[in-house]
Amino acid sequence: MPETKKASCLFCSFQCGFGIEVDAGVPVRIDLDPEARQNKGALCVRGHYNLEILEHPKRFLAATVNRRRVPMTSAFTKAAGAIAEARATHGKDSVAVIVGTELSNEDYDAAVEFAAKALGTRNIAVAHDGGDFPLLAGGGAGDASPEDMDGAEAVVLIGDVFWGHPCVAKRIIGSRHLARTNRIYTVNPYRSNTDWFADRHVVTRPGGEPLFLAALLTAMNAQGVPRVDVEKAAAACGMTAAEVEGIAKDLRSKKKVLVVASSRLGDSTSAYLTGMLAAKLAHACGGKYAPLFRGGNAIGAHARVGSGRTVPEIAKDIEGGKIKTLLVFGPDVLQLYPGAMGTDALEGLAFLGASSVFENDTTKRADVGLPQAAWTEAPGSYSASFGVATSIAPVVAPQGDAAPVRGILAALAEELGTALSGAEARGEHPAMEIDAAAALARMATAAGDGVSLVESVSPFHRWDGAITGRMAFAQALRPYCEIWIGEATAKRFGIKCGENATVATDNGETTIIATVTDRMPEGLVAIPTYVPDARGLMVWTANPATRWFDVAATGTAVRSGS
Amino acid sequence: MNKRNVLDYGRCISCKSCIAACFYAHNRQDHLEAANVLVNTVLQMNCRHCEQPLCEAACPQEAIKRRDDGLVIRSNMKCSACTSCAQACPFGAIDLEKTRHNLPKCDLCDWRTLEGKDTMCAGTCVSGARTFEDISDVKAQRGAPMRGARTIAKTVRRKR
Repeated sequence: MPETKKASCLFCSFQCGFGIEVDAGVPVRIDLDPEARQNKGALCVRGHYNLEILEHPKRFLAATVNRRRVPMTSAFTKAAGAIAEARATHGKDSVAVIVGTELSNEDYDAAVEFAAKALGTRNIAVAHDGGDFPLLAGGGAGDASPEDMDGAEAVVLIGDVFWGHPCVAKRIIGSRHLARTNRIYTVNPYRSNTDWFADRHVVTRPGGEPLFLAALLTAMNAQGVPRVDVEKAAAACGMTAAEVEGIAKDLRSKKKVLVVASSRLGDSTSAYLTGMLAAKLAHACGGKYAPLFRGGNAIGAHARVGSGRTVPEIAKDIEGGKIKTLLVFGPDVLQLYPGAMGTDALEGLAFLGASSVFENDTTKRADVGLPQAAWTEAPGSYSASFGVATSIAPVVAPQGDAAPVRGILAALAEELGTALSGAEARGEHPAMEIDAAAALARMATAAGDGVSLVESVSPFHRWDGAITGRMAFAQALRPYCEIWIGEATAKRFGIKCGENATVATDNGETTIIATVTDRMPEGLVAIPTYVPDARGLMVWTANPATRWFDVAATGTAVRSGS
Repeated sequence: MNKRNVLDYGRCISCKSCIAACFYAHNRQDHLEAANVLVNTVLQMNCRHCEQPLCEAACPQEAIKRRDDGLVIRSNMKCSACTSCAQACPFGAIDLEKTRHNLPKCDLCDWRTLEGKDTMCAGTCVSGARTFEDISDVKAQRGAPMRGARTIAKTVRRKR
């Protein structure tokens, strides 16, 4: 008799609840869960992929040593031997651990304990994608609950929230229709699908969102925030000071205000200030703040894993020869940080161990590859946006030799002569040293010359495309990647709608189909960064102040492609 | 059953969740067609389950039948992929599945709706644009919601 088991989606931090119909241990189809607190049954395209992950023919299901399949025990012995040798030769701090943002809280606890007890290293970091880490560091996990979306009188949406996290749309659009005076304000460099629903769309320069927020807070005379020249800030957003003051007055007059920020690739200082100022804006209006992240359990990872180290710093230490052994649990770091953690950067490693749900570039390059259970195959608890904590039981047993990360870590620790207790971990994050006033002043005067690349968000792809790129529906939707370019910019470069365009930066070039649309302002081109080729055009530079990557493109040019 | 899928274009965010839900619920067959309209919005062309279905009349294999409960159902085994129904449909709701040589069409998720649940596309809709409602209520409240896709394609208001 088929049975429907409840699960949570980890493709973003909204963590939608859904069901999977299971018949005699075999997952049959996705079922919707109208009782789920945050999504109330709605499920975006990515949510429907959760079933396909379980039955995908390219799942990574057997351990590998130098790309040859071996039993799990042999892989553990090989990995433990390499770790012990590295520690003896280069010292304890020559070993580093990187974990992804789709693991359970229990997996993070095990990883922190493994690093401390079995390896004796403080080199453990979370592979957040894009702006997740600085946005979290700036504004924290927020204080809004899912119920705050219902009946909100004013909502400020920063970024393409509806395409990045589609399941928030129903309740926010619903509250917009409750009263004529309800308002949706959106802040985005180009007219995204979220901005269709806006009463006022504020068009900032890419990375200039904090400037508008700071202008609003200055107009509200809020305390403890960097003050800016409202007139100059408004001009940088294509508005007048009176318009900014009008929005500020409207927000202050509302009883129920919700500010939602979604992270995006870009300047990490901007992401940090966006988080900080969005939270302050919500509180200045007596409202609530909710950030939405790319990583499914980014909030849990941030709360539990924190050794003072970040991925850019570990990448730098690998390049400098200080770290010789790297263990990666979950993410495909080669695709996630092209260039910064690329094949050249990993050349200096003596040993690379990687676990993943799918075989990817990192596991292919690994000396030891370990198959990892999908999030619906193992029990675990997760921390979602809007203050939701989810706890799920496994829907089906892990396939092949795949095991949960905590199981892999326990086996490795045992090989190294240590037992893990499963103690709860607490992350520590040193404060960032950012000169907010100087950064906002730069945003107000930044000139918009040449061509700038911004990322376009897709509702059917996860951020790096490492998993979603393999899914049947995404592949059936060809062309699933396209650049968006404005009419004036397209005319300048001789690009026609529907034809190929070549985008080149200092990092290389790629040819993608172009869609000429009036949603893009002059000089701005949106590229699908979930496609590895397009993602590789962006340069990932470590920023010592934010301790994260700044993602930007230099020397951008667009031409008609073949 | 007098319930049908209804779409409010003013609320659609073009995320294609409904199409994905349909695709995976029907063994990866596209029962729900979509067309891009004016670049900015997606027009879903779903089967209306007509009272007098032209697809049924056009089918030479008698693969399409209107059941007593009002659902217009196509039999996989009888369909020879002649495309007669696709040409007869005034709403453009049927298209050829090239890889499987048949013409999938909406079955209104009868395994769910008979249990009182919403169709997959309506249940999964992330913006509340697609609903599964009694058609007489909808007609009374909103005028003429079941206009043909081709009519809507010409008159749909461009989103800002």
